[in-house]
Amino acid sequence: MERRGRRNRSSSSSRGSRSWSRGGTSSAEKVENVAVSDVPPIVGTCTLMCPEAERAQRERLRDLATFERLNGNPARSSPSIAVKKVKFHIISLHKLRGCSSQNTSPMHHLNLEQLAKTLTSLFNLYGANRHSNSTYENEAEFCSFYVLLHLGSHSQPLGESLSWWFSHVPSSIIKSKEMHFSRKILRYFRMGNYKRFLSTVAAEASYLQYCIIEPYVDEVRVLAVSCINSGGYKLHPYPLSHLSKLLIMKESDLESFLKSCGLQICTDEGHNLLPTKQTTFCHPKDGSQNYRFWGMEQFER
Amino acid sequence: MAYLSMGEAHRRINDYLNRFCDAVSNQDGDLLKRLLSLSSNNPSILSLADALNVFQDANRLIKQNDNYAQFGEILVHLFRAFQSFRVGSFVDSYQAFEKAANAFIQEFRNWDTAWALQALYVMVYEIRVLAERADKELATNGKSPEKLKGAGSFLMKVFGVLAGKGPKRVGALYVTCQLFKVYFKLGTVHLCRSVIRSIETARIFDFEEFPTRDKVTYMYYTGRLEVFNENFPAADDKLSYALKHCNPRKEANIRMILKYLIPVKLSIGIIPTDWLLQKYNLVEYSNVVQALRRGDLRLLRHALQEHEDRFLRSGVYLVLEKLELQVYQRLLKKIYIIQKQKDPSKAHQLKLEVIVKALKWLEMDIDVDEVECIMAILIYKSLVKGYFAHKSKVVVLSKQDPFPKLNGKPVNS
Repeated sequence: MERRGRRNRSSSSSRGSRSWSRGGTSSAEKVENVAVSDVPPIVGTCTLMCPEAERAQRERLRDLATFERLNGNPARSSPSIAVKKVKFHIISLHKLRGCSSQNTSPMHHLNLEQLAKTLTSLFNLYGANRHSNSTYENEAEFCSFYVLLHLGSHSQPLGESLSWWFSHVPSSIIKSKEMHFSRKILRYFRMGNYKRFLSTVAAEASYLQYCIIEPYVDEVRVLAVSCINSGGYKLHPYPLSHLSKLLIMKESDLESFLKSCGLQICTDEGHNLLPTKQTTFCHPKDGSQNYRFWGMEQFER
Repeated sequence: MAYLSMGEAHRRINDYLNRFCDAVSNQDGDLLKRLLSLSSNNPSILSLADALNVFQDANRLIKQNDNYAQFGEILVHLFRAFQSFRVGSFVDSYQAFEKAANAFIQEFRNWDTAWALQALYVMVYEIRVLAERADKELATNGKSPEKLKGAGSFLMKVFGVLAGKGPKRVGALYVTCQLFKVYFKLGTVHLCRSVIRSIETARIFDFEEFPTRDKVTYMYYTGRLEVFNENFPAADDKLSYALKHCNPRKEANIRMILKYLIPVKLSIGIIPTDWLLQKYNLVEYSNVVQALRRGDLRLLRHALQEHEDRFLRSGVYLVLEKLELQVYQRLLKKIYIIQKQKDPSKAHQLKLEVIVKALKWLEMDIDVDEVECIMAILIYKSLVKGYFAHKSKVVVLSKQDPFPKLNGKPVNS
């Protein structure tokens, strides 16, 4: 995020919008000196950020919730606003992971915290505004995000276990397409079925679902390699061409990945192979390279 | 309601007040607890409530008599609670009862011995039950239900009063169990952690000192929490304790314990008998058990689908889903046994295509790559001893104990 100075104090909204259009500004715009009493608006990464006047007011009041209350009632807010916030944090998960040059770990942690908070708020809003057995249009989608956030072995980002959470989800949500996908992914992950996990993610995940699942893709690949290394026959090294298809990686990426796992490869008649029963296997260090899904460039926005 | 004269109403109220004062002065816990049982539709309480609704000046009676007046704070609000309850105003009843309970706690603190513990239990129970009814009333009227949350705060206060060195501390576990019921009802089970920590780590408490009934309830709830967190050894310990010490005549309670203990036992390789499932009407587990015995993956998935709603609501669905690996293990063992009967010298080599075929018979569309993946996982998690040869598409089993039993431990994660 960056701060920019305003052109002048009394800029009209039209001039303001020329300077600060949503989603970014022209780099050719000049930045003039800022009056001390002015509160410059903030240009952020969120393409859905609020208008300039609102941003300035948020900065002055230091109270974000003012703009998210219905009819000034602090107990009521709009699910659509919460939805936007959740989407923003999910996309930020992906973007922060892509920032390899900086130490983004604290920001990533903060973003995850905020995601958990906004998702909880969203579910509370759904519950508070629910009429009889109805569900909201995108409720299933956001419930599916909640499930995916629990993929990690001991992950309880919202404090409650997933089993407990499931017991309160309406049946219509459980049976939705989005939840069906998430529950499948969860099942494959928990069972260690790396083949189905990776192929299902590659074939069916939406962009937002992928943003959440992304860190677990390499975790599952590590598991796959560990299983193959420990369970494979020593005299039949595993062909990398086949392994790269299983793990949905380019062979060149796979070679680098195996190296980060402490494993060596050999060559036989021009084919790269992974000898098994290597004792040097280790988990790659945190912060090492993220390996993309081969053929899924549409997710690398 | 039959006609009630003013004189009769006056008599009933005085009678109650006298009994209340006698109970306290004689330290008669049994009598006192009967005088506080509001929601059980106790005939004498209901008849008192009728009298209060006729004779509207009970507060004056209380204030005019020194014996009654010393407990005025309790009695005035208690009477209000009875009156409101009788006419179905549960929100009013709860609010009044909470005031009465607060005043009762102040007196209780000053009584040296634990003679009034049973009465305190009744107060605590009634607070929770009334709060639930009050919240239903609020929800019906389109208002935000918040009384049960308030009841939870009150119970924490009571817990604090009991958490001391004296004889009253044995009541702490009962209050804890009531708190569990509140938190489970509210969906805020994470709040159980702090009170569990107090019970399990505070030096003033000796778990064995608590009444058996409370220990069973405590272990049931904490066992359930361990199931939700998939901590199977701890869940097994706690739920097995609850089962062992539960009154054998309380079949409904035994059923509740088994509902959670069975998935835990299955996860550590222990299978219940059909007799047990039938006796306690836990037939939703029958096909799951059968699937494990037979290695029938299709049956497991059907059973999970058939009872999906029930398993999800009770929080055991994810636990049962994880049994798939054990079902695969059993299927492979059956294939191995059949091969051994045909040709013992080749029994330990399973072709992946044979496994693919067996799964196709079970209507499972799984290709050879996925079968190899599953084999790799089973070997990795020590459910199968052996190795797989990718090139020849074969699994070679160890000649010694190729399908190790779990022996009371969960599958390696």
